[in-house]
Amino acid sequence: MEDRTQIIGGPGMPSAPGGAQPTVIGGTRTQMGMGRTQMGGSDPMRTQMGAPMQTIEVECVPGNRYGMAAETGREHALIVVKASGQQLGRRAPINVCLVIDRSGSMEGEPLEYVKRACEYVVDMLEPNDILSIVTFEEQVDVLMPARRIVNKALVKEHIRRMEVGNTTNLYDGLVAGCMQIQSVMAQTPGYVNRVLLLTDGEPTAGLKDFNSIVQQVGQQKAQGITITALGFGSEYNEELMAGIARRSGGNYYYIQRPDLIPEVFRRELETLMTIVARNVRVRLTLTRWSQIRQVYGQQPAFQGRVVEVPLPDIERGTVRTVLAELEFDRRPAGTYRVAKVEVLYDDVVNNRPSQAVGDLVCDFVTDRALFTSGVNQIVRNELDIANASQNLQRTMMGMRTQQLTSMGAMQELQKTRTILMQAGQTGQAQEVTMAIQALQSGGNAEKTLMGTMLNLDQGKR
Amino acid sequence: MSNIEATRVMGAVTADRTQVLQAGNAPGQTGGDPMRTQMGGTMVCPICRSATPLMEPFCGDCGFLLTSAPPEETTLPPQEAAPAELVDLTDGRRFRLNLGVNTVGRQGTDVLIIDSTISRSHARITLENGSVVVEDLGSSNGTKVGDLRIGANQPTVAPAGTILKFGNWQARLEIGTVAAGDADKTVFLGGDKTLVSIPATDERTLPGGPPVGAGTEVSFPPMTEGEDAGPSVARLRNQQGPSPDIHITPDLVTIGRRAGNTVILPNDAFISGRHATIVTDETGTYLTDVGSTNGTFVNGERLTVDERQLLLEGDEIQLGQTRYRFEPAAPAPAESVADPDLYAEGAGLETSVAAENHSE
Repeated sequence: MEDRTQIIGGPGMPSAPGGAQPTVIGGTRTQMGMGRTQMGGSDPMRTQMGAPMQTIEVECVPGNRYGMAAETGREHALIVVKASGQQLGRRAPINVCLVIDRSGSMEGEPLEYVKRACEYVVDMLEPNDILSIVTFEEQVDVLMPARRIVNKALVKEHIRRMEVGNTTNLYDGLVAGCMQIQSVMAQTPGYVNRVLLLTDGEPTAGLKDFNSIVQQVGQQKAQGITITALGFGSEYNEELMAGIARRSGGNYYYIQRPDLIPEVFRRELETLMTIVARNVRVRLTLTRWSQIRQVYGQQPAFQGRVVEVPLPDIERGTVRTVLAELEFDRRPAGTYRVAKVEVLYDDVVNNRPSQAVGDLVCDFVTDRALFTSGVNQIVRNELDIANASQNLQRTMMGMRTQQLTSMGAMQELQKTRTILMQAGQTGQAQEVTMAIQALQSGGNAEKTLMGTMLNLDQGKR
Repeated sequence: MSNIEATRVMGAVTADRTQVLQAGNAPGQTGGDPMRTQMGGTMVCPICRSATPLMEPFCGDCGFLLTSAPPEETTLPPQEAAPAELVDLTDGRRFRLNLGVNTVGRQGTDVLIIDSTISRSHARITLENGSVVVEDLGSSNGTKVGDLRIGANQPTVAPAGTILKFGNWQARLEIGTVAAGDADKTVFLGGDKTLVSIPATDERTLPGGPPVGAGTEVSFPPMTEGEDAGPSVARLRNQQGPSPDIHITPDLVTIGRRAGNTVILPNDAFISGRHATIVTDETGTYLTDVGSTNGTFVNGERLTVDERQLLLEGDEIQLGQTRYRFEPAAPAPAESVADPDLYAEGAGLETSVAAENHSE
């Protein structure tokens, strides 16, 4: 049983030692943290330690705690969305559909490993979870409609009967998979819904163009279904697969060898099983004299003073960041909230909508020396990471249009790798190293880099 | 615990609030309307004068931390003149252009326009030696200077008054509106000072450079560069409510609470930052609600957002808490732009409004 506490602004509720920890990123406590986090809609309760606990906390960090009064200015703002690392209750049950490409090219080893991976999923699921399996080639087959698994052996037997066909009708396979999930959604509130889409090639049947497919993905996302895109081998369209994951807020994997398929399925399933919040949106309400110029790696929705940025589902103990660039109009000196920040989400552990609230606050001063002293290194760091993602995009574009030679691309990647290392993103830096190695051996760097970019843009830290 | 939380102990809040209220009413402060500050359950922001519920720590409009002491100086030095501006043809929003290069686009640009027909990096406008050069940066939906569609990377000179089209977004180019000399006035209605005249200045700074600090102190917020106030073609005459009459000039009139509008109504919390626009052409005068929170009403009916409504003599118009009557001017010869009568008239109106407020 978890405990959740409503903190209202702090007074009368001293923060107990060991209680709400200040968010620590990169080892420095943020100065202008304004770590005022409120839970909405839950009864005030305390844990035995007196520590308030929320599924999601939000922290708002201005790139400079000071702004210059009476001047226009530009400043970055970092929104850190953090999921508590503690197990707050039973994990949310999942409603997962495996959408498997069984086109001709999957024949042999790949399909054998896919079967193994599917069986593995069956083994990992608990009685409450729901599984469906859809396969596609020219046609789409529902190998197993969405239901709880009673007889694991029987399901595995069905899986083993999978056979290869002809072409790749990815679109219809995807739609059929989503329909399976939808068919039981009314009875499964609070489930984590996810499609695992595995393909090894370009779509060759059904709707094939990027826009139709990604648009469909967007509609499914609006229904609460997220798609994780698994690209296998060297023939699939990485732009399409990464595009699906990006639009959907899902994950993207590049699976180089068939024997890695079961491992990737395991990893994705483990991720799903730790999700604590879905349908996550960061909503910024800007006050007068503040405008938003951009949100890095995102296409936010603007409506008047309100800017909304969708975030992918959040796993326990993980952090998502949103980096925005703001523009300030001239204003008199004083302390201002430049934006109210709300993180709205479905708490899947407790099965209810919830929110965390924070304030992005800046002190507008007249003293330029003070202003210069207020720069926040953490936000600087995030900006470097955002720039690294843009560098990657530019490098990939250069490779595709042949404006960059393989040597030039490697040099660019080296630079980006250094930036990522300095910014503490060792995992992503490693991926860039892999991409460089792939280039050296004449292999495919883009399939890896697509994933690196997506992870950076999704703010996974 | 952050300093915000520290100040949110109830006692402290009350104490601070009292202090702020007193400060707000103190002589010499940009004096608030005493009627409003005493209203139960709300707190008037010392900076922007909007009312915010007492429990809120920050002003709901400008975001000022209400528990902190108001700054000694709530006035701002006048902003240096914009060398040029783009004026959005649909809502009248003004985008400042600085000397040197200004980028136009949907993401991270100097002129930032959220419109799906505009590319992220769409075009570049360069201001040099008094001339304005527009260059398309390979946008998807193209750029037009007047009726001329310009190809990518073809720098094209645009004279003042040209309509520029980026994707589907259209704007009028205005060059040196303020620095020109006679047009630099802001009509600031309902404030403590009726009219604020910002002296023309030829001082300009490069982008990113320090602002030009010199100039007369004016009441905050003086950030609006004056619209070329043409002859008044009609007026909205106050029937009831806090805001003064609104003069309708042949140019686009934008109405809102924020600086940047032609007509600023800062003291009515029911007016949105950008509330409505009025356009007059040969067919008549049209009122458009540009997405206000509390709506714009003509003869009791709320206007659909972004749909223009023809105004006829005697129409009853509700903007925020004020009810107006639409009165077209009698056909008269056009007055000159810098007609001093306009000032005199505006000042007179303000006096009458102030008197009305006190009599409430």
